[in-house]
Order: sequence, then structure tokens, then C-alpha cells
Amino acid sequence: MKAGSWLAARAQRVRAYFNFSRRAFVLFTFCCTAVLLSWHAINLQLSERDFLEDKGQERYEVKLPTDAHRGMVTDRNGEPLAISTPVNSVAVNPSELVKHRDRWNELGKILDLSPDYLDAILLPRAQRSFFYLKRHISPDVAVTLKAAGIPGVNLIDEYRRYYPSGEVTAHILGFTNVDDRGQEGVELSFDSTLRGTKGEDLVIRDRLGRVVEHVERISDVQPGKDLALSIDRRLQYVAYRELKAAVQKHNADSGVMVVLDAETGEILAMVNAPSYNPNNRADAKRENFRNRTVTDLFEPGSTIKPFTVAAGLESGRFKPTTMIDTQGGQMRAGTVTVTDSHRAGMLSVSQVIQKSSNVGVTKIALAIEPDLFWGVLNRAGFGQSSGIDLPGETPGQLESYRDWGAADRVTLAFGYHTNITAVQLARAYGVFASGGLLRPVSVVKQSTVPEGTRVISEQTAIAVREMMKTVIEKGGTAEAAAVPGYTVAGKTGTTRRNNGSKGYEEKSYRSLFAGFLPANAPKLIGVVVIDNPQGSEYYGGLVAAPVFSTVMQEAARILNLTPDRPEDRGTVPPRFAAWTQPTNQIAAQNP
Amino acid sequence: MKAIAGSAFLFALIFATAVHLVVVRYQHKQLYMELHHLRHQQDELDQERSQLLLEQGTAGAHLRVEAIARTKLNMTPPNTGQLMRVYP
Repeated sequence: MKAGSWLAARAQRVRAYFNFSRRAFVLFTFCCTAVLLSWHAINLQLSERDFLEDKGQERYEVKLPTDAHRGMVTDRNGEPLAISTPVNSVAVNPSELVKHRDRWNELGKILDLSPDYLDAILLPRAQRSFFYLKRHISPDVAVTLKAAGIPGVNLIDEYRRYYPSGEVTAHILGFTNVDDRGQEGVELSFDSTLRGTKGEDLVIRDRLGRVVEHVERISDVQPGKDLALSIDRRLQYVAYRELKAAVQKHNADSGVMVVLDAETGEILAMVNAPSYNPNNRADAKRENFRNRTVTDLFEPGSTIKPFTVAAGLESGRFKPTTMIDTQGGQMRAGTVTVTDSHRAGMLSVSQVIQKSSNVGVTKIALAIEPDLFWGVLNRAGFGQSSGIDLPGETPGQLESYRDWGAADRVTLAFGYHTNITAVQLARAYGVFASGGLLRPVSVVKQSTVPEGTRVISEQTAIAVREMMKTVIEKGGTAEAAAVPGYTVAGKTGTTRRNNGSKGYEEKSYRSLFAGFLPANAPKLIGVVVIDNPQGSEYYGGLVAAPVFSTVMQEAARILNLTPDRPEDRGTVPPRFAAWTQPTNQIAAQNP
Repeated sequence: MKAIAGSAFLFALIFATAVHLVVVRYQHKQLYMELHHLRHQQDELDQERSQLLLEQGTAGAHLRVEAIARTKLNMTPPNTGQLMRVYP
């Protein structure tokens, strides 16, 4: 009992001894570890906190962009002219895809890509993780591809722009590139309005890339705004059809036509031939992308004569009935010999316009002060930009009267030595149509009639308008511009083409017609320019005027203009151009 | 006694807010999923609308309409002489 209690006591002492040192050791170790750990924790917390937090978040938080839908472009009646529709693009992860070479054949078959092409394009990029294999595939291909579920192949939502009217509206609308940015035309000049802004959301994704949680909205998506143009799709089509037919018939280099609303300055139709299909530009010639109505300058030729005569009337020295001796159609003015194609003797100012007498207008120009002549041209927008809301406008060229040489005043009288675009010419003709006011032009639908600036007195404008009516009547230079049922005022022009350094070319002409109807209360202004028509017919009255006539005849019917000459019922059937098979159906891939 | 009652009250509050937080998070997740779903639906409807508009625009393109009118239906536009204006 005694020995047993001793042993027990000893054991207890021993235990206590070991317990203490062991405990101390363990405690010490733990303390050290705790201190070290807390030091590290403090260190991480204080000095590397931001870095580590960022790194952590990067692994699960993702900024997810939302594409903005590009706004629709419509005509003045709300008919769609340019629509964005979502399509898929195929993005591949080459580093993933090379592990599944057995499925390349299948991929190639779906996307219509040859195995050689896939090898050539994917193998050099085997280290990369993103590559656009094919942009903008059709919806049914997308469905097949999705169903195939090939690893490393992803479909990305994008938008593609379609133009239902194809080549008819190609130049005015322009087009967007593969990244949905405007490149030409309205698509370019109104890009910021149409584009909208991308939205961004911060989300948390799991390992497989599924969105688990929406953290916050960084920015709202702002869809692009729709844009209503001043264009009337029906008029645009008629103008394009007739112009294209005329360019083909006369084997001309190119042609343009502009139709303007005489009351508001809005562009109702603006066409170029040859055109291109904006839905499939692969085979299009780049030179045809240019909207010649705003970029190409030409000498207005005889279409300037109404302005020369207007300046003459403004000077007070001429009246519409004042007689001018055209000397049998030939005169010398300084170094220039002026000739008329229709020889005549004494002509009234009105007949000078009707017969388009160069001698007649030369005499008028020489009789008035240069600054007055220049003033009328300048105020009518010659030598300036029209300010139209389309990209790439070339300003007109008109030298100041202070720099005019002896010949300039003479050649200007019948439209040489100055350059103008079709749009600028149409705008200038608005002066006669509106009773002496110059209005701004635009391709966007206007809600109010813009203010005009006075160019000539109303009296002068109406007097010149009366003269321009005689051009279309029997004995005028443009009987072919007549529109059954309506009075028409206009002026033809035929110019020799000036080929820069080579000077004026032999047998290379430009046919022009500018006019408006109904002549007494103008509603539509039209300008037709046909460049380099081949063959025996090249006069503006024979090449450009018929285009004006047919387009205006249909335009008047479409817009329901009241005929102001109802007694003329147009017994001849309208000269509708030979109809040709449409060539610009939207690419076959379109749904 | 008072202190214990106070702590119990605070503990109850904490518990309640904790449960509430869970509920709110859950709702948030549910609503977000719904939003996501609706957006997806909106995208699809937008897509369908734009494709229908496009189809309408292509089918109604004047080139095509005129082609059908002239070749299949044998139509021609009237000239002014064939038009009659009726005055009220």
C-alpha cells in the first residue's frame, strides 16, 4: 500500500515534469507558428492586398459586353433600307482544336472549307486560343454547327447589315465593314447616331464559364437610333432603273441623277450608274463605290445659262423680250470664238434660252458688270459646298471675278471654267423653282421647311422660269423632257469633257439636263448627268432629257401631283426603259 | 440578467438578418436568371423581327415586284392618257 502510493506519487511527478516541458515546447512551437502566420497575414493584408484581391477577382469576375443593335435606316415613308440582323461568327480555339484533328473533316464540311485550308490556317496558330474561322455564317449553318458540338469551336453573336434595295440605294446608304462600322454614305456620316453604345455587365462565372451571379451593371446598352432619310424608295427605284437603262443604251461611262423636293430641299432620289450590290461587295469595283452626285465635279455647260440670263435681268439692262443679234451663230470675243449649234439671227432673251445660244448669253455676260454676274452665281451656290449630310462632298469651283481673265467672263456665260456637282446644280436650280431662294439640301427627312437665302428677285426667278418652259416646248432643245399632263421648265447641256492635262477631248461629251415640274408651282427638281455617251446621240436633249421625262412622269404619278396641263393626255405610251433582269438579289445565304 | 437579455436580443437580430440575407441573395439570383432569360427571349424576338423585316424588304423590293408584275402577271404601268382624275 505504502510502496504503491510512492510509486504513484513518483509517476505523477514524472508525468508532471514531462508534461511541463512537453507542454512548454508545444506551446512555444505553436506560438512561433502563430506569430509567423499572423505576420504573414498582416503582411498580405497590408502590403499585397490590392494585388491579391484583383488576382482573385479576375478568376471569377468577368466583364460581359452587350452589343448594341445598329439602328435601322428607313426611307421617308418608313420602308426599311438598311437593317441589322444578328448572325453568328465562328470563333475557334486552335490550341483546343488541334487535339481533335479527327473532327476537322466534319468542321470543314459544315463550313464549306477545304481540309487543306484548315491545315494551312489552323496549324500555324496552334498556340493561340482565339481565331475567327468564319464571320457571319447563315442561321442554318449555325444550327448544324451547334448540334455537332466540336470542342474548341464557339459561335459568337454579331450583327450583319443587309440592304433590301441592293444596288438601287447603294451609294446613298454606303455600307458598314465586318465590325459594323460605317464606311461610306449615310452609314458613315451618321455612324455615331446609328451605332449606339455597348453595354457592360460585371458577372461572376463558374469554372465552366456559366454566369452564376450578376454583380453590377457597369454601363447600360444604348441601342442605335433609327434614321429616316428623305429618300422615297419608289422614286429612287424608278430613277435608278431609267438611269441604268440610259447608261447602257448609250454605252456611257457613268451617269447620275438627283431628284429634289423643290419645297423643302430634301433629296428624294439620288442614283448612280453603274452601281454595286452592297450585300455582296466581293466582286464590286472600288471606283463604283463613289457617290458621284456629291464627289464628281463637271462643267455645267449650257445648264448655267438661266443664271447668266437671271444676272442680265437683275442688271436691268435686259428684259425677256429684249432682242439680241446672235450674228448667225458666230462671234469673236477677245481670244475666244463663240459658236452656236443652232444658227440664228436676232433672238429675244427668252429665245436665247430656248435655242441655247452661246452667242446670246456671251453678249449678255459682256454687257453686265462682272461682280453682278459673279454675285448671282456665288449666291446660287456655285463654287461652294452644298453642305449635304453625306461624306466626301467636293466643293464647286468658281474663280472670283477679280481674277477673271478676258476669256473667263465669256466662257462662264455658257458654263465652262467653273465646276459643280450634280447635287450642287440641283440645289442651284431650286433658286428658279422656289422664286429666288437658295435652300439647304439634305438626305434626312425634315420636319420643317428650312429657311432660304435670297439669290435673285422673285420677279427675275419667275421670268427665267417662263423662258425655261419654252425649252421643253416645240422648237426648244429638249422636247424629249416633256411630261404629259404637266408643265416642265428646264435646260439642257452638252459639254466637251475636259480630261485634266490633256485638255478638252475630241468626241467625248457629257449630256446634262436640269429642270423641274410642275413649272408654275414646282414640286420636283431633277438633274441628270450622263458621262461620255457613245454613238451619234450625245446632246443633253436626246440623252439626258428622256431620262428626266420618264422618271418625272412616274414620280408625278407616285406622288399624286395634280396635272396642271390635263388637256395633254399623252397619247404616246410612256418610254419605259426596257426592263432588265434584276442582278442584285441579296446573297443566297440570307434567310 | 439584463445583459443576457440584451445579448439574446442582438443574437436574435443577427440570426434574423442572416436568414434575410440568404433569402435576398436567393431572390436576387432567381430574378437575375429570369432577367437573363427574358433578355435572351428579347434577343430572339429582335432577331426574328429583323429577319422578317428583311424578308419583307427583299420580297417587296421594286426590282422583284416589277419582275413579277411584268413577266408572270403581264402588267404594264398606265400612261397618263389611261389615267383619269376624279374631282370631288
